Amino acid sequence: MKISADALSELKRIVGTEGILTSQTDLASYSYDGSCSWQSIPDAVVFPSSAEQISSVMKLAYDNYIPVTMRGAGTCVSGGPIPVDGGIVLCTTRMNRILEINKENFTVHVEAGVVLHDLNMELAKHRLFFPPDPQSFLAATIGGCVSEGAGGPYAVKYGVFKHYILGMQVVLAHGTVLDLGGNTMKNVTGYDLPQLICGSEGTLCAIASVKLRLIPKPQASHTIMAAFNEVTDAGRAVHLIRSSGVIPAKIELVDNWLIQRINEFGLVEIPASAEAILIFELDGTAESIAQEAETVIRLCKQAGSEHIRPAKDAKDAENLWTARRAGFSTIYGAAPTALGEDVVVPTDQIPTFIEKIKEIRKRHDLTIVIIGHAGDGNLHPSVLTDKNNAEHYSRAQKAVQEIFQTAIDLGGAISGEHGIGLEKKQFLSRAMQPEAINLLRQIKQVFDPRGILNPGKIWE
Amino acid sequence: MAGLIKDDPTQCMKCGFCMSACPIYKLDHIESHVARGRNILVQHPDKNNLLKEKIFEEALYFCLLCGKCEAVCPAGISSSAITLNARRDLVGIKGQTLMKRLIFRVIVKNRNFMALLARTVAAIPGFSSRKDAAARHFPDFVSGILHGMKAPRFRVPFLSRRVDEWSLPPAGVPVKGKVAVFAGCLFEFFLADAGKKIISALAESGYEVFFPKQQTCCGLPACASGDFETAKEMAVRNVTLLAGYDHVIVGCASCGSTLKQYGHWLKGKPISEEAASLGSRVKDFSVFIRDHLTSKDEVAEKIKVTYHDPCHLKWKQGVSAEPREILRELQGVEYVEMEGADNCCGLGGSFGIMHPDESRAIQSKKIESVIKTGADVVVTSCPGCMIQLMDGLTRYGSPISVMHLSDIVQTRGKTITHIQDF
Repeated sequence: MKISADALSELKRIVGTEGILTSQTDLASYSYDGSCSWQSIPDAVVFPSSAEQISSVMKLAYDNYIPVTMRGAGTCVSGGPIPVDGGIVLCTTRMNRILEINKENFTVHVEAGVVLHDLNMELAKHRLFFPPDPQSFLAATIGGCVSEGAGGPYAVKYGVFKHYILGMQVVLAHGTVLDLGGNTMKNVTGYDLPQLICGSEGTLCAIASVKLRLIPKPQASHTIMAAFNEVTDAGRAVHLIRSSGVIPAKIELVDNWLIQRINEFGLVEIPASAEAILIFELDGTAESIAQEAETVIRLCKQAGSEHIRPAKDAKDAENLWTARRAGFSTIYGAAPTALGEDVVVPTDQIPTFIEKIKEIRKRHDLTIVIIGHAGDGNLHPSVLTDKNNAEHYSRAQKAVQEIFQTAIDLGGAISGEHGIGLEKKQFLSRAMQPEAINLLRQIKQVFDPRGILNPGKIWE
Repeated sequence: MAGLIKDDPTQCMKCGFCMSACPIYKLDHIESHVARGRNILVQHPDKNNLLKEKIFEEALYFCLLCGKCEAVCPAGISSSAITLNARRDLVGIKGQTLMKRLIFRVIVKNRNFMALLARTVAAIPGFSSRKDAAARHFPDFVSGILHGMKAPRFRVPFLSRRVDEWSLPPAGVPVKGKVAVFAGCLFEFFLADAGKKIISALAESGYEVFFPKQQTCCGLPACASGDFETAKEMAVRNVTLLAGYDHVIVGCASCGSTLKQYGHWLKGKPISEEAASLGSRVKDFSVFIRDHLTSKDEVAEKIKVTYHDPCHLKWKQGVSAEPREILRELQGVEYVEMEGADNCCGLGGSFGIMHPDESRAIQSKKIESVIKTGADVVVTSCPGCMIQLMDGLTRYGSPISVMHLSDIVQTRGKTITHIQDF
């Protein structure tokens, strides 16, 4: 037990009895996130309703050396919100107010617990749009997305979370509440602390609210699917399109294993011989889309695609995206455990990377499904395995390590949008120089001298 | 879908999408109150210890069984089936309370005994809806037990005494075929008017309607309390009674979704094939009657109507278009869609009684969006939802009436009958 009875009653005083969970059942329910391999039970789950309450909790934790692990919806897939040292799970889901939508300045101020999807539903009423779209958007909170530096398919045109952060209110380890950044498009006042905190996985401070940049909602969108007999042709198509000046909102890639499943699913028909498909989304005005669609189709043909299918209407487009999304569930439904990875390579290396993954797949006699965001080089090779089958699982883990190493060798990164957390900390030393990791440690020391904030994450 | 229910909790990939759908999680944000939380709890390595906690049992019952989480689940698993299995296992370990044993094994299972009891209670002033019965102390007492919820009153005579075993098409209407009707307990005892209208609407559409009077509860309440054995006995009886009819029409979303699961319930039993067959022959009233409306159908007075999607119709049976098509096509009806039409009414069977605060919070949102439409009538396809909507509208002092779809289909050329009083 990391928390004394006194500290526990103090926590109850701060957030009220409704704001704290301590039964074994409830604690077990906060021992995991969306990842596969870890569970660790906290000593208390605390739901603050304001920055002031977070501050009081932090002061108490600081004085008593109690670990504090921040948590939003717990949809993280790298182990970020798992309280490996016990202590307090500080869950922001009840801080879910949209504080201000500024239609003139194109900004929004939200509490950390606002769900991304809820935010976009509200923004749509004002014809506004917040593009970064991690695929957990139905449940993921803004605080969690900022902490993990999340992104999604829209990254190719619109970037990821860090490109939209203007300012934030944070609570430091010893309880000080600070407003960082501002509400302007440009800002070079000192070190960019909000950018440092974005992607710090809850190891530097607690985020109470965030100010984000918005854009007007595009008037129209259009979807095109192109099938390729060679993955390298798909890679060439992506390169040709990007060189042409057309920037699709999304370019998603699906491999042959999933194409076959999609065909079984019956929603969309794809030539069974296709090694890969690309799904493009174009957005803008009706005129610009028509012109860009023509370019995309011409260049896909030039790259060797013989099967190009523009969506006939909104319903047809929705079917294509449903098929793409169904891929995700198909992968998870196809094996007891799926290790869904998150690696990035420079975009010109995508075809080489896919060839290498196929070699790894063959070498270890495994099913590895590849889906990903072809436009930005972020791929999600998913290894199908069973964590209760030791022999198989160890082969799967070896394959994952080789995938990481291949990505690094090709000049890529071991995480594009999921974070390091617990999952990849053993690989950090391969991806960063020792002095750079040392710098991380020193920064951590300045923010969190007692090491109470999300201990056990990012590095070993 | 019978037999294809995926109830293996290890298939839960913990993505958390269920959080976006769950009416309860949206209220309290407590992980053990959402599908993912329960899916993980029931396979937790320390489960035997957790079982000892009262709060573990509470988590299993902190679920409306609405099934909305299943509609968004990328792994396609039925989290309500997993929750029900866990309730069954818990009853296996801890045993069933005497009260629940009495309710399900003695009363609900034996429709005749239930009817006798209900008639006895209905004779007490205030418990039935006869106008001459003064409502005073007893209803207040019951209302107290139900935490202020306006208790539905028994409607005597009950449905099975109002209709014959066979209802035939009116003279001159050509006979199209035979159908059977499964009514369910709420139509039988509380909303007999609406139940009768289901039968007469079918008869007027040209069907010879069989109403087997030996039918019993669909079994959902017993199953939801973890008493699968009693629920299965009920299922066997209903399967036997309803065998041989091409269409079995159900006006209650919950009963309909339950009948469709009989194949899964009775898997491995001699009657399983017949049970699965019944599942495929069951049709919601709206789906069946949709094809039998004529363009001349109209309501007597011009009215503004909105529609509430019962969870067990939309999420469990995938039916949401047909009731709206019917309403839009009826002459004289101005149809208006409410915001969040498919948000739960908050009843969830006994959930409303066990968790009145949460139930009422969900109900309030629903009632507010009903009122915002400015409709005269809110139509739905489930007697459970009807009772909850009536209670909520009364609480808000709203004059909006609640009707079953069969009620409004029946208003063709007739004056609308308000059934607000219950």
